[in-house]
Amino acid sequence: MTVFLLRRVGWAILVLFVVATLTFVLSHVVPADPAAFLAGQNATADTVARIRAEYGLDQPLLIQYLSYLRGLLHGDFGISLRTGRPVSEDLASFLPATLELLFFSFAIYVATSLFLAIIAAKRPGGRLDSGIRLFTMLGSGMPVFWLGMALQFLFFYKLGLLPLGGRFPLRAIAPPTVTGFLLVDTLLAGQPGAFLSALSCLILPSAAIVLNLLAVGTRMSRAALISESGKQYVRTARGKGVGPRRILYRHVLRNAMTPILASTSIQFGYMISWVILVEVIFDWPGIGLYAYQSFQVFDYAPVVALALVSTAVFSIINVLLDILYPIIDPRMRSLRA
Amino acid sequence: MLPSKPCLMALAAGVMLASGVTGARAADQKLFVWAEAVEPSTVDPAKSDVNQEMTIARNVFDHLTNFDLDHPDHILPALATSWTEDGTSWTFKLRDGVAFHNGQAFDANDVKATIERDLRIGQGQSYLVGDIKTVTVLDPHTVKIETAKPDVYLAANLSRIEIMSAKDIAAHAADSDHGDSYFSAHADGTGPYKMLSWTRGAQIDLERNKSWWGQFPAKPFDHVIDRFVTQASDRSRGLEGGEYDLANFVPRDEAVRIGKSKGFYLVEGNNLWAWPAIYLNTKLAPTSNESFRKALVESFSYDAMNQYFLGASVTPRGPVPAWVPGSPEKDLAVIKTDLNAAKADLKASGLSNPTMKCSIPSGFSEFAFAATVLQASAAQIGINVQIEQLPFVQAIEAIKSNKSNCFVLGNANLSPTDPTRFFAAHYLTGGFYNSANYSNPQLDALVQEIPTVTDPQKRYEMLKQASEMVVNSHTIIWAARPTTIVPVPDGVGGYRIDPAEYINVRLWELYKK
Amino acid sequence: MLQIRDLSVSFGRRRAVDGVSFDVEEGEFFLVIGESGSGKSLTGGAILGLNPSGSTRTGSIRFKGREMLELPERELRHLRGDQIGIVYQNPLSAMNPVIRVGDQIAESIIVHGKGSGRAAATRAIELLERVHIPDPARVAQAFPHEISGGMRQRAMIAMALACGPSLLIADEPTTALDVTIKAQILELFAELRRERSLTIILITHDMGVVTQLADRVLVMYAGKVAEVGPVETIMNQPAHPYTKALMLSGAMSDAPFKSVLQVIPGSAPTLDARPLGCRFNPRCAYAQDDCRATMPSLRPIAGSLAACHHPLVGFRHSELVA
Repeated sequence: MTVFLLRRVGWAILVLFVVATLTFVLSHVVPADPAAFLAGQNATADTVARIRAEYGLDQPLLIQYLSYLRGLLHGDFGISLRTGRPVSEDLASFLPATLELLFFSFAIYVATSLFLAIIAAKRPGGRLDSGIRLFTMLGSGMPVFWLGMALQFLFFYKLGLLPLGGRFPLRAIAPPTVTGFLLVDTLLAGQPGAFLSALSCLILPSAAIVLNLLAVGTRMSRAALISESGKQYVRTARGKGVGPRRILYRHVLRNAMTPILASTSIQFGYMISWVILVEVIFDWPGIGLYAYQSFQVFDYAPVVALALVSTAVFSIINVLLDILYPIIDPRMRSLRA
Repeated sequence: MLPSKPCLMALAAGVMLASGVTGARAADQKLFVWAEAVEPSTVDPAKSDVNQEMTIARNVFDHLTNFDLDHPDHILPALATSWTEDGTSWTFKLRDGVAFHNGQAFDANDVKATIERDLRIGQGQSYLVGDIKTVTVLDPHTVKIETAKPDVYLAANLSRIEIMSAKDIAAHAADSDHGDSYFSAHADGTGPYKMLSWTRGAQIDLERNKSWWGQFPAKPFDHVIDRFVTQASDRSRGLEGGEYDLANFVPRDEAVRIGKSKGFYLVEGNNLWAWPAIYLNTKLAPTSNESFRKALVESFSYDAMNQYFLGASVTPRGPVPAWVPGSPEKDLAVIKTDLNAAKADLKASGLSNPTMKCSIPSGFSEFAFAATVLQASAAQIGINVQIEQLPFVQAIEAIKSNKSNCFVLGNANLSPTDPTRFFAAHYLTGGFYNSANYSNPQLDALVQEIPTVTDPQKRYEMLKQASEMVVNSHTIIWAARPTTIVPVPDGVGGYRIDPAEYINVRLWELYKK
Repeated sequence: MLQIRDLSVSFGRRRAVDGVSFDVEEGEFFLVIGESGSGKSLTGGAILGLNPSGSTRTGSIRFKGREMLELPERELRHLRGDQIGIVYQNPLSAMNPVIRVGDQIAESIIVHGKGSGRAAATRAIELLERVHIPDPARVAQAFPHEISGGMRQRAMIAMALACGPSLLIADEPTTALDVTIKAQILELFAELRRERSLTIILITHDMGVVTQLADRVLVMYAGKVAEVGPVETIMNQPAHPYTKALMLSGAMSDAPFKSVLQVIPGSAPTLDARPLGCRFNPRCAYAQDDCRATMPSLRPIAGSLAACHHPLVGFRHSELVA
């Protein structure tokens, strides 16, 4: 088990290294001179040269790469040309927003896809099952950005029910930052009204993400549930006099969890990319929006950081899942021993 | 079996509460929300040079002078109450009883420290006062500024230089970066609005400076949120939905539609933003051929552009718009479409079936349209134009590194009166936006000289001559010069367009109607 | 104790079990035997209403005087595991792989409200001990895949016995077990029956089972009862040619049922391709015209009931072996 985990962590580090190198190379073949854009349109040539030296942009590429790698090892992603601040500092202020959106969407995704799958799996091919299939297919058929804009149009513009974007309503007072997660901080501050405000901002962006992923998620979970429901241990449980609800939750669902988790970990990768996209649409002040705005002015350090952080988050989640599998399914413990 | 009922109830409750949350905001009468297209990189006025940075600089800081938006050559007192000029030496009398937002009193040392800092950094708007040699404090309320050579526009250009606190600058002088990182996040001026907080990625909160020396209108906004809204569609939708009170960079067709809808009115004015000017690269064939460039200028359908702007535009005759003080525009020749002349010039160029590439920055519909008009116009005389849309930075890089023949961009000059600034970045040798890679030492010298000439008539003649040089170089097609249109909600009054800026917001002039 | 009359289990219009009738007496060890597809497992499942979805039951099943076909699902559920225990074949898949053995046994006690938490857990260990599992406390903590096949089957039996049922239905409980283990499991059934006066219905295709334990035997073929009677009669004087073939294969070896196929040419008909007349006629060496025209009904023949137009009379199993 330990050996297995070490191997997974080793892989994750290798992937991170490759991502770091790739993004470095990609960001350095960009034709634009970042120093010129940092200096601004009216700066003199001397100023541009001074800034280039300040940021080490005049060094040979190999030196830049090595010092960049050395920085990464110390958690230093360099300095953002756009904000003029260390990227790690920027990340610290933007990451909680992204993680909050990611975790919230993930929770909604898991809950909704399971809920729909359970209903659909009750009577496969039934009217509810077809309805759910149609509904989720509609969601996944639309690109995320389109879905996001359609939701904004409907819920902000037409109905005026939910905010257009942002993480907190314009005219509400934000709670003091403790965890960086507004849903938690508002509760810690004892402000239920602010909690609902923060929640109201989360609804549309996560809906756009979840609706897009729901079809695959529901289908996978439904298939797992149907396949598990047909297993012989279900007949045994019925023979023991166990009721349908207990069969579903104690028997079928626990067994279906392994295939569901496997598909969820793949979906989680999509979710990370959709979060980044949705942040741009909803002006969600997370690392996606941060990197997007930086990318527009060819400020590449934040883009590299985003690639690394999302790869890291993805790797961490996968390692966590690997730890989780044997807990859920005891058969996997002996397989890995 | 499934807990559907409680679920639905929770959903309904959530929706009700959420709508309560968004509905409550309308009650806050003294709050004003400005939807900004891009988050500022810095709030340091010494480095501010784009729109979103100006929002903070202009409203949080004061300037030595001001100018009348309707008559830009009327320079008004601000932190300086009066001034005298003697060739290269200017003496400013400063306003008494002015304080920075942190409570420190304003005096002549602040002016000296600010200008010296601007010149050391050499970014932002410092180019407007780049000729300043020394700043001397004569007494706490008098400051002397000396320039390397005479500059008739100095007082006007100082209306763009935000005055910082000398004590703040001194307090951070020992920092390894001389306080650059501190000032990029903290703005402390004497201006009409105080910067309260900057929530990265979301907004900057401003509060009205109730002890400001200037005059606010009757019902000013006490609290301003400078909200960063990246998507243009969100800005227009949010403006329409009442989430924002005003927005910048609303696409033109949307702006017209919203401005004409119920609850809105349109403010129209001359402005620097988005005149599509097509630069023709003098260093890459076929646009390196002057007759060829002339043929392009003559073939261009200026009428198509004016139709695109629904009549709210004129066809320029030269680089300086008519509304700029001292503009020679009215005495310049009209530029118009002349296909016969174009054909003759193309023949004179000796090029047959020429093909050229046009790299334009993506995301600007005006620029894309101008390129399309160029393509169609040039096709009429047998020139093939290929258009590629690239991100701004890549597009300008393409033409500056001679990988492309043409580029489309607006024109900018932040000085209210100094017309030579129209030339510096765009037509003079080495200018940042000199996308034609045009170089004419004679023009460079002439433009340099204009600010030193005190006789207005002589300046006028020189400016006319400089303008004609640019026109006759045929390095540029001024496709059209439209007015700027800003949709304003009925509840907001006092919005005016600053002709010497991009889309601006002068918060201290706004009021609740 | 159990009276079954004219029981049919159908999938749509196709009858997998077709008009089966028999009685099981209290304390009896009753054997149901037949090839796969004969409907024997469906008959067992039908008693508890545990047939696959999409199937319907008609006829009558009376358990201790109550009509099982009219009981609502909720009440059936109370009977299952409590009054009637059921043991399935292949316990590796019939047990939940992610729940500990002890918990699976305790669940039965918990859902029937006969103890909760620790009490149920302790009871589970006692039950494991009762079915002769060594170190029952350890096995209770194990997952099904961690114990041997024989132990799993014993644990399944413990599960079925958890609430002290009066009837135990064992559906092929010895399939896939090796000979020694099989004998041990059968011995366990015999013991349980002796000591607890348990009524047992054993459903099997395994001939080796017949001789040792059963009181009476029901032979099924293609959804119909071929023959039913006391074990000695079935063993020694089978009236139905199919029973005879079964006995022959059982006597020849202890091997599974497939050897029957070697004794009788052809194979059992599928649901869709049942012949007219006696369903066994295409494979029957004694078949005549009436066998191909009309279906024989069950009638008494020399000590058993058989559905055959031309029963074998005077056949002696011992003769055949000799």
